[in-house]
Amino acid sequence: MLLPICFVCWLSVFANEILSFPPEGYTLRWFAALWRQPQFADGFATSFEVGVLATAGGLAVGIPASLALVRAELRFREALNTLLLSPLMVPGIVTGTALYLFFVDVEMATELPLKGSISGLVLGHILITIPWTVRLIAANLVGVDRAIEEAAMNLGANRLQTLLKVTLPLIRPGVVAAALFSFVVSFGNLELSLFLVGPGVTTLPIAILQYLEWKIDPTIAAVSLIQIALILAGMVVTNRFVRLSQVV
Amino acid sequence: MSSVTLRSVGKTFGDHVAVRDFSLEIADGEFLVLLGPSGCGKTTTLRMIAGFVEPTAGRILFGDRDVTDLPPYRRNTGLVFQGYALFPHLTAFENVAFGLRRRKLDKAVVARRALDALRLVRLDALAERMPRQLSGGQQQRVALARALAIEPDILLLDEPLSNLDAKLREEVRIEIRQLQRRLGVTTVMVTHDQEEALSVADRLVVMNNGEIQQIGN
Repeated sequence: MLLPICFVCWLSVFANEILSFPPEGYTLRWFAALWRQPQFADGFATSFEVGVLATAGGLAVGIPASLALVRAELRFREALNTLLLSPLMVPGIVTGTALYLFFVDVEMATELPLKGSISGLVLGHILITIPWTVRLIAANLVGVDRAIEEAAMNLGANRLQTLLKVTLPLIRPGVVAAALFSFVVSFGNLELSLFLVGPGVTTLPIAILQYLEWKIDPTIAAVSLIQIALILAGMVVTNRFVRLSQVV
Repeated sequence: MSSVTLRSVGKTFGDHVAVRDFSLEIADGEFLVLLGPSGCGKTTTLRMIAGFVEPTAGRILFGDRDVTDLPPYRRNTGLVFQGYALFPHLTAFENVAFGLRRRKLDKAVVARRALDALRLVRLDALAERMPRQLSGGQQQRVALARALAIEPDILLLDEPLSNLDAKLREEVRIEIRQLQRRLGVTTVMVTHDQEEALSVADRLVVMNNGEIQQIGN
């Protein structure tokens, strides 16, 4: 699994003008070249912003949904579960096309700027983070002994206090894991975003794709490497708060 | 402290009758034990008194206050769960203080009463330990201190000794009995162990198939 990453690392320091084998020499100039290519920095900023907002939105939907799925005695539990997981089952291209058409309709009806905007991207990405948040948080919640929540209520905590003081602290590992997965899924998404980006609003994976249409040089490997390094850094930081090996 | 009255209380789940026409008066300060095989309705009865199970028939009164429609957090009962149900993310002290904090008491009062409760079960030295750092018997005593700290009108014990080994069970049993005498708190305990029931009870209620079979002293 690590092999492709090793190759990307290696390729990013090739001196060749066109990605080819064997290397003619080694250089770091592709990393330096990144600074002169604003589309990557802009793409990174957009991806980061969308990732953070989509993660927050995904949690805002995913936490209550998991509570309802696991704790409430719903009649349509199975149907709701399937609905919440369905974005995983539909190919990203299909979801993207559907969302684009939907946004066009909504824009014509309400004049809200959705397609080609950050808000449109965030809404689309929330959709693909929901299955991850619901799966991870619900799995965590199933492992929380109900008697512990009952104990809180027995001691005088109402439902809200029980949720804030007992349930949420107990599912914190699941919430952290869900946030991390959501961010990574959103940050790296290509298929769905293809339909939702617009002039001046381009995510990093799309900036990379657009660059690839014209050039094939190690710049791409350098961008990818930086992206991998940032996600790795995120995981290391998260790991300080919650042991990731226990939650994933 | 308070007496408890159950008036023709019943509970059905679908077509399964868990408790049928259960009427009982529990005197103020009495130690009552509900004894019976598993599935006889004793735990359901206890959970109806605590407010976690809504009866499908009858009324429940604490003193002359009708609590049938009150949620668990408005009943002021202290429940000790079979598996202790300590808050794993809080220290022993914070576990015991949890109920006091919900009552919006002064900080100093919370600290004093939580420590008093821990002292009652001889665990004040381990107040800052997390539950996972305590032995089964110690966790059990924290659970007891937590239930007693709020000065409940009624103390409810759901098979409190079933997770302890034989020697410890004897010890904790005696401790519970002595504490109950000293504090004079009305207590309802559920168990399937006859010997245990006989050794602590003021009065014994034998249940089977959701009904009272026998009441004895």
